[in-house]
Amino acid sequence: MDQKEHRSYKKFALRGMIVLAVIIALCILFSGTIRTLTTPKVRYAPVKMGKFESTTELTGKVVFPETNEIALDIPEGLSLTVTRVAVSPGDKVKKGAKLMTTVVTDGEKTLATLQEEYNSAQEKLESWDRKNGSIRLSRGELQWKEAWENAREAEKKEREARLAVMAELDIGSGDAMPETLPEKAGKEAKAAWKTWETEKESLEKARSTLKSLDKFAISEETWSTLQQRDETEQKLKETESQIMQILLLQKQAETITAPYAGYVVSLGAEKGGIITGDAPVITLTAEGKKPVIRTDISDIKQKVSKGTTITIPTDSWGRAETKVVDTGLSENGHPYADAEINDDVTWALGNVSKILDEEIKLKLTTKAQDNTCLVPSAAIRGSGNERYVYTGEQETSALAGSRITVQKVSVTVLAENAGTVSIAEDLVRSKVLYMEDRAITEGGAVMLYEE
Amino acid sequence: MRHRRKSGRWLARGFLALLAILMLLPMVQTFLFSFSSIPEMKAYMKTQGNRDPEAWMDPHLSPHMISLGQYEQILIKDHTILQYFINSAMYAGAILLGQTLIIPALAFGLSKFRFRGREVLFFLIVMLMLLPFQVTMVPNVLTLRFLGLLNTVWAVILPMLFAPFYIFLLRQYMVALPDELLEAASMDGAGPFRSFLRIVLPVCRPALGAAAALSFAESWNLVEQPLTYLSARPELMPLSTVFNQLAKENTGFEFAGAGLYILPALLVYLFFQEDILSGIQLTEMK
Repeated sequence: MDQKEHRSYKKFALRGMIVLAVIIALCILFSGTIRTLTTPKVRYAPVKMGKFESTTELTGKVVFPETNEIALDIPEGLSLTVTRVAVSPGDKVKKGAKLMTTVVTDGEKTLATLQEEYNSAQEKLESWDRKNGSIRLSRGELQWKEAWENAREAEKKEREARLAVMAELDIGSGDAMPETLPEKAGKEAKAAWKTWETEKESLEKARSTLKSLDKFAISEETWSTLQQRDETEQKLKETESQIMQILLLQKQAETITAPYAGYVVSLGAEKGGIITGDAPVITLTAEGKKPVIRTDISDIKQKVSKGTTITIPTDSWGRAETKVVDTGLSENGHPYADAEINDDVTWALGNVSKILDEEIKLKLTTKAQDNTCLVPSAAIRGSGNERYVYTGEQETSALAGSRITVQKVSVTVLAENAGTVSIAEDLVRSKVLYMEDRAITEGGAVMLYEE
Repeated sequence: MRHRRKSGRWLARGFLALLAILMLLPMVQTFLFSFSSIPEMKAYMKTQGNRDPEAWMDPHLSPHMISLGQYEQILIKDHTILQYFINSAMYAGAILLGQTLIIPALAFGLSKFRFRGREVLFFLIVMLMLLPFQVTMVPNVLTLRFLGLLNTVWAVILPMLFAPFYIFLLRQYMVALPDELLEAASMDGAGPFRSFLRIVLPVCRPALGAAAALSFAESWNLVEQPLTYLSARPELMPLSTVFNQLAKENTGFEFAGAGLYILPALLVYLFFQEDILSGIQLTEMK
């Protein structure tokens, strides 16, 4: 190897060392910048343990959970005609508010007829008094009359008591009554038997009294005459009572008002309609009770309980928020939830009367019963059964320094909504990565955003 | 007879070529593997020591795909290896500089000055050279602790400044220098220091080059000294101490680290190769 060749080697070595030194100096100066530019930036997802909240879209309808029928005591044969209706179903009414006005159907005509009947009976009685005014019963006859009437009354009571015993002991009408109470008789049969025995004794006593007064028995002709007067007197009383009832009903039915504050559920009749017997004139919510929006929750897996949040989206007003006030099972066995119609809902949807027959869209927000790991949806990757998250493992070693390496962790998704996913694994202590500025891969290095 | 000599020469050449290949193979493999991707290297390193004795070996001689990933990792993504590299360069530079100031002057004194105890001193230096590091380690630690230098860079640098081998090497070289040369300089009015600077050092250039190259190699490959003296300060360790850990952690960039580590030593050897050969040939060590 000659001198020239050695020199060229030296030159090469010198240049090599200079280049190496320059490269190392440049790397030290600019590697931080290059690393920042080339490494994906991520954030740690806020992972926590909690009860998963999910929102389900449902429809509901206004219902009145407890109602009270408002009825007037309309005597048999009478009816009311509705002349004006002041409210409609769903209206909120205060105590004493006018609900409707009615009149007694053909009230004046009926009154006139009864008045005629009354007058006729009055005349008949006066006429009887004129004809038979001389009839005077002795003290003994009066006693016999009373005993006779008592015996009739005792017979009636004994018959009723006997029929009650027969019903309790299942004795047919053609069968004979047993002499003693069967041993197997129930408690009610025993009570009926005891009443019957008392009535039998009373009947025996009444009959005995009547028999003892037989010497004062009134003649058949006198008895018949007296009976006529009694019947006329009875008719007079009945007619008078009917007149009083109509007058009273007319006064009661003129204006029907709310007995307490509540909501109108339904009307007994529209204007011009007729209400008879015990039929309700109007149905109100039970005192202190409010209408609710009832929704079927058969398809919801999570527990819905009192206090569960319900939101009602509206086009014009945004959304209203209310809560579940009751849950239960419907007649067909489906579970339901009742949402309170609060001021928020009224503002958003209008009065109860406006939404009474409408299908109302609801969003039910339920909370899971158990605590699970809640991860933001953006941090959950994959699809179907293959879901996973990327976690950042802080690796600190003397050689590799400190760096965050991406690790892939498979997860089991229990439930998810628009923003949060509930998973079976506990990743609270793991650093779950999300919001990366570019694609990240397992094993790759990432940096955290500078806050 | 001529034919037999020719075939013998070819046999020797073949044997030497084989020997050269065997010796160069680790270095070539290091550079080749340094261009493998990190995942490939991690996978490869995992197989080491876990071979199925029943299965055939799958020799992995070159990267499946050329990648600069390992170099990107150590030069750009992660500064740690670079930091160790700079530590190594700092130790090598400081030791070389210190030795340049001390050892030639010491060798000059021991070779050309006559004073009482010179031979004893030289004998002690030779003795010190023959003692292994493990023997001097404990007294060194105690001294460094006493001086408050343990776990500082000086704990590595200072003991190396008085390397007995290079004193011996230069002393032997200077002994061979004719005294007439120094006497002529003296007659021309040069004092001992001027003679040392203007006459001895230029004449000793081959030996100085050899000493510098060997000293660089020794300083660059320091392992026991930093591990002993810097045990509480891992951040001050040179690159030579971390390769075991690098392979153990299976970082995937062991070979790029090794490549980077070899490169300065190669360049230094290339620079001083003539001096190394001539320096050793001209000393009395040959």
